[in-house]
Amino acid sequence: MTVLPRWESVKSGAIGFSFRLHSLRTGYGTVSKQQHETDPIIGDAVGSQLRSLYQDFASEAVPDRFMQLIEKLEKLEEVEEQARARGGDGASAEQAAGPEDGS
Amino acid sequence: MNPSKEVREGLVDAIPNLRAFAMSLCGRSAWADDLVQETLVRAWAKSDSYQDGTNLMAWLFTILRNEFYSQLRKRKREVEDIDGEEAGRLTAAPGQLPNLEMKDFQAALALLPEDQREAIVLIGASGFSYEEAAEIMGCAIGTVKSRLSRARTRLTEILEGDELQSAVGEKVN
Repeated sequence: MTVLPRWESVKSGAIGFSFRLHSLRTGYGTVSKQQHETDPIIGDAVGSQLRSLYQDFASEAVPDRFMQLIEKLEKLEEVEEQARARGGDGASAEQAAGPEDGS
Repeated sequence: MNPSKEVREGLVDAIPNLRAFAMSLCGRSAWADDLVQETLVRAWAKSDSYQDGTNLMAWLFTILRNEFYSQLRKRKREVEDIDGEEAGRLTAAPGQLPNLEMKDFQAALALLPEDQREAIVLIGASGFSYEEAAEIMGCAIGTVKSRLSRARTRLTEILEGDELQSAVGEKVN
């Protein structure tokens, strides 16, 4: 998957100049490089303030609620799979995984 | 249909970037986190509509921005019922940034129309190409470029002019 190298740098907290330049040059996707055009915004003052703001947001610690949500989704899926394996219809899955919003 | 390994891992890795995009769009951390949460749930539920090896980040951003516009419409409707004048100010709320320059910049960004703000963030900060941004925003590449150009002009005007002072002043309750 082509996005991974850049995400590695985000995960490790090394969000810096090289990450930004790299991502801005190549984009995230699978579109070939020839198809990419860069906009003047990337080099100007407005662009650099915008990226600085964005990086501030992106480097904030991820709240626990998101990992808990992923765990909940994984668990729900497990229960559904077990229900399917037993020949059930998965109707008990929601009950077993608890209410959608506990708080 | 259960999400593939690529989607599962991609979802977790994408969270910081989804939050940054959401914060840039709506300017409020509580709302931004709601948008991210909704995006994760939806992406999980409709993961069979994602084809492995294609552009996962663009797919997730599309879900998030669609959710943003749908919530924005809903909020505007609700607010209009109470006070029509309030509706336009929904997203203009500078957050808790340590640095004054960044606060001003965030306030200026919040003054842009949503479509311009979205274009400038996708291209200028998230690092998407014009093609990817057009796909995410569901419009033509030419539209992306014109929104981006208007956004840049407008932002420069706001930052250089004095409307920021009055706009920020207005929001202090």
